[in-house]
Amino acid sequence: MKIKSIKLHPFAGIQEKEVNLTDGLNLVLGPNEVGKSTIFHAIHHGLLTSSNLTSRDFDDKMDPFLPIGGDVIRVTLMIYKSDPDTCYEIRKTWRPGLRNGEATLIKPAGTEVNDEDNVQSIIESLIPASPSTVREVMMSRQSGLHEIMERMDQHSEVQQELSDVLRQNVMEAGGMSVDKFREKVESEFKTYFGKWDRDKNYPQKDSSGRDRGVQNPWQQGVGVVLEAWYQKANARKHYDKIISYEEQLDELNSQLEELNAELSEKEQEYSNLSPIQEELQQREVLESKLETIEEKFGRVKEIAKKWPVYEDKIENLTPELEELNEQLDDLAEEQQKAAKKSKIENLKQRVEKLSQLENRIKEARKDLEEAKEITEKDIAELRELKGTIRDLRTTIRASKLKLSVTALQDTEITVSNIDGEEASWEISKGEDLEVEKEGFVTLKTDTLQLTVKSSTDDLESVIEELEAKEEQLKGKLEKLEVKDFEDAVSDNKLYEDYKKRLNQATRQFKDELGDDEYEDLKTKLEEAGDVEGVRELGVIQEERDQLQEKRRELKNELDKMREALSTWKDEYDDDIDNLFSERADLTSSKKEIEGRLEELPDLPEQFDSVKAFNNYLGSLDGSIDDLKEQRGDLREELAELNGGAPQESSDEYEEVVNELTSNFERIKQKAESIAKVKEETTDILAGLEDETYQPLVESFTGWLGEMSDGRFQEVKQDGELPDAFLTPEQTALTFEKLSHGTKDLTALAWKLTASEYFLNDQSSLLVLDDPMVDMDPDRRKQAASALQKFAEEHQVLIFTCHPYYQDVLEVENLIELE
Amino acid sequence: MKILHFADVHLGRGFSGYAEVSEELSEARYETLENLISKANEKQCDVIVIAGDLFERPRMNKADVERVIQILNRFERGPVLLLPGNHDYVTPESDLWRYVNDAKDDHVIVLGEKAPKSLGDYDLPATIYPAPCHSKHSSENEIGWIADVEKDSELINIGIAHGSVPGVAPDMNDEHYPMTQEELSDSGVDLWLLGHIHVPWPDNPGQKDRILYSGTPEPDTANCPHGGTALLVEIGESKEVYVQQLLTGKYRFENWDEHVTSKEELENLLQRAEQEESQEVVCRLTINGKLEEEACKSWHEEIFPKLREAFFYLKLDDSDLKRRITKEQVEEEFPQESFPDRLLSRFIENDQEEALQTAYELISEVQDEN
Repeated sequence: MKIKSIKLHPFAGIQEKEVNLTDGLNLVLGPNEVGKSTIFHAIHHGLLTSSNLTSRDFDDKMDPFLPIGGDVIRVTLMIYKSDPDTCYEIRKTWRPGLRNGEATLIKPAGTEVNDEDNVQSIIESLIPASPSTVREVMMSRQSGLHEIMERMDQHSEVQQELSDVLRQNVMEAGGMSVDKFREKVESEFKTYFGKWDRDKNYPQKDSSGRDRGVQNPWQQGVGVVLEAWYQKANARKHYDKIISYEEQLDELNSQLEELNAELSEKEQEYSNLSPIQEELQQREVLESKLETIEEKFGRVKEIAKKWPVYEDKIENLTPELEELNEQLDDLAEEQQKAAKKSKIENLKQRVEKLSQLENRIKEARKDLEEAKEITEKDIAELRELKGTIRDLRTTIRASKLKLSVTALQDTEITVSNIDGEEASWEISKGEDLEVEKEGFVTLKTDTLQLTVKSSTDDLESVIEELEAKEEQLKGKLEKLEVKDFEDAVSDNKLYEDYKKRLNQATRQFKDELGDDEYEDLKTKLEEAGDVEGVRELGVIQEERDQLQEKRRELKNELDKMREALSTWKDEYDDDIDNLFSERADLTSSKKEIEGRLEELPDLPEQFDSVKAFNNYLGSLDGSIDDLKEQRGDLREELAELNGGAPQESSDEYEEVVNELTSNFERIKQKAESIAKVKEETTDILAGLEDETYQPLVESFTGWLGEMSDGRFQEVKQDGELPDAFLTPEQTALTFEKLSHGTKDLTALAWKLTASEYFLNDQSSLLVLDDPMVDMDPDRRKQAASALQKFAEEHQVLIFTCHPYYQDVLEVENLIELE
Repeated sequence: MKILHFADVHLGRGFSGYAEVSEELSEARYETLENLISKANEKQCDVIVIAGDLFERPRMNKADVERVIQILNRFERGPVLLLPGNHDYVTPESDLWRYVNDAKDDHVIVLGEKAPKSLGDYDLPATIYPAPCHSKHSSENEIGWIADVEKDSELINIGIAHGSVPGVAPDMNDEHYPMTQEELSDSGVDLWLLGHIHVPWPDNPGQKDRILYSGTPEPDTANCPHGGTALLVEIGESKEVYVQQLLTGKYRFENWDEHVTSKEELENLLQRAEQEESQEVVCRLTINGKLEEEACKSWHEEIFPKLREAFFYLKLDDSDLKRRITKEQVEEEFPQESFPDRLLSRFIENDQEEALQTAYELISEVQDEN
């Protein structure tokens, strides 16, 4: 949107003035307080402030522009989009008080709009951005341009709009709105995956966790995938039902078939068996009768046979019994004898034993009498003597004697020691002999005996004592009539043994005798006499037992026969002919019944009685009834099953299931491709969002570079506003750290950038208030060149009181105020 | 003796997967049966053998059964031998076969028992050995009894059974009364007339072929890609056999698997489809390939609607028919680094064809909305 002219009539201090603007660069030049800001405000309010204000809004916004003494403010604007000859005329009037103003808009075609709201909305459709953005960016009047940065920072609406514009640039490249595409994908995703759990490949559970398969399907929000799944699953279910029906039908039919076969077999059997039932009944009665008769006949026959036999036997056996009794009496007598015999034999054995013992005593006594009586005491004495002699000899041996002999002629020398042990040598003439002995030595030749004794004082007495003792020992041994001590010991042992044997035999004899006298016993035995030939008690008892058993049997037999005979005689009046006549009667009845039985049918082989036959027939009848009942049940079941019979056969329906299954698979494949598109879209968009501000940064860097002579060519920017500026040395400076002049330059660059983006390729008006006021001449030049460039595409309106603007800018329309 | 042998008519089949034409497909089977009976009369057949699955289900509504039986009653020249198959198996409780028995004339004979059936009453020198089905599935066939029966070699002994023969057609779980060729040969009959497999077997039966599958006279899926078959079997004095295959069906089921890359190929496809016979074809068309924008548009706006018209019924899977989208194309259409350029390029680079197609479509839609 651009302005062709603005007329103030009146507005603040200006009673009536029209200013015409051209495309390109317009400069309003005049000293302070000549109405530059009045024109600015008139444009601003003419475009953006409603004429329909509350009193308070009027006071806030418009009251300062009420001419002194006046009660009306009036602005008329001619604006156009691209062709200055096709203008919209806007007339606005404000008056103090509540909604006292009015507005009129005349469209290029001449249509007049008087409704304030409509007028304002038409104006808003003509301006390149929202009123707020236009106010803050395209028509900011603040003299310090750098303030724009802060102001934009504070006005989130402007930021948002800038952001939207940028996004739109990126997102709509390629002739398609990415947002729309995303919506489309989302909606397709929903259409396909409604109520479908992709992970489980199954319908989603509901909020209560219930399964929503075919038993309890979702009704609302079912997506294409689930719809196909339900179709498939329902078909499968139906198919299973058909299969189950067919299987049940097969099963029922085969059961029925089996049952029918069994039934007809049983019925056949029943019809074979039942006709003979009655006759078999008769047979049973006759057979039972016949059995009784045969029983009776058998008895009569037996009695007839036994009666005479028994009588004979009784007669024969009675003497036999008597004889047995006699034999038993004899045996009893023998038994008594046999009992005595054992006592006598005991006595005999005792006497024999005692006699043996008596002999042993005699023998022992004789041995003892014959033995040398060498007592223990004698042995002790001998032992003592021997000990003394040994001791004495030891004493004598303690004094050694050495004897040296030289033979003067050949001679025999015998040497003996104290013990009398002798040794002899033949010595030749001149030969020497040396003998060494203890205490005492005797040397004997043919011619002499030389005894040498130790000359120790008491040795003499020792030797004497020794000799005495030896004499004593010798005397003792002689007295005892033994050769030496060893014999004495041996004889003593013998003597002691005989003594011991005697004692032992005597004791045994006494023990055996007890309180009895030996002689009494012997007498008793002699008196008892001979029991030879009497048998053993056991043998007699055995024979007696046998005979008793025999007698018992015989007696039993006799008793039985007598009893039987007595019974029979009672029964048949003591006359055997009566018995014979009964036998004849029975024979004829038997024949008659047998005749009748022959005419009746036999009991079938498999039965052992008519009762079993009847039972079987009864159970056959019962199972026929049961089978019929079962058949009835099966038929009912069959009818019920057939009531719900499916219309299709499983073979036919299988095709439907297969088709719906592959249909489902196709749809799922399609759906998964949508999911893939969705996923990739999200991924790409995340990347694109990062790139949103790239064009803005590029444009800003472009303007800044142009005005800073390349000093700032890089800007760090992550959001709508730049964060830092990079110097060629790569120092990052934040906006606050820039010099005042640089800040203005930067702010101007930003304003151009922002405007450019809001305008978004539209050609429009940009209002600037003294943009170069704080710049040094060099920067002014650079700023001017940038402005000049911007004005090539847009309408630029600059307000200033500095004539040097004219020097640096190629002004197309100079409006000088005085 | 001349026999018209067919099986697997599956009357009562609903074709629920062919919504718009299901009734016509269902109805065509009745028409075919009528044609078969007329053909039997016209060819002066002595007997008609229907080797199972005349009906689709063991439970049919009475009026339909009566309609079928009235058609069979129209055969004038001899007996119609009707074997229960595994779809229309017979049980003592079966309503279906009760309806059949109530409605049929005497010369329509239900082979519901495993017992020889002499055709002497019809002056035919033949005995029939049937193997009727008694349930939908069975791992054991019903022909075992036949080998044990003494046969009169003066007569023509014909076995009629319904089920699979391993090696001829798959029977995954061996649950369709499997009969080995050896069992069939050893059973002592002169000729086996079988049903169950919808494709005739052998392809060109010769003199020595004594085991014959007639195929279905009216195809019902693309698994039987023929025009519908029945067999005209002629047995000579010395039991020599001449078999002639008859084309009997109304509709054909065909699978078309097409790969196209250009509009020209699409047009060729259309040209192939636009034959007069196609009006009787149920076509399952699976088409794939990548097309230029123009061809793509032509497919959707022109070719496909025409194709649909060309066939009696068209089942289409064009999920793999794609627009050709190249890097160059994207670069030309969208400014570099613009969002569409980035998105599409990403899918091209990662070879994500499905996502690429979807993204392109969505972009076009958003552009069109502007």
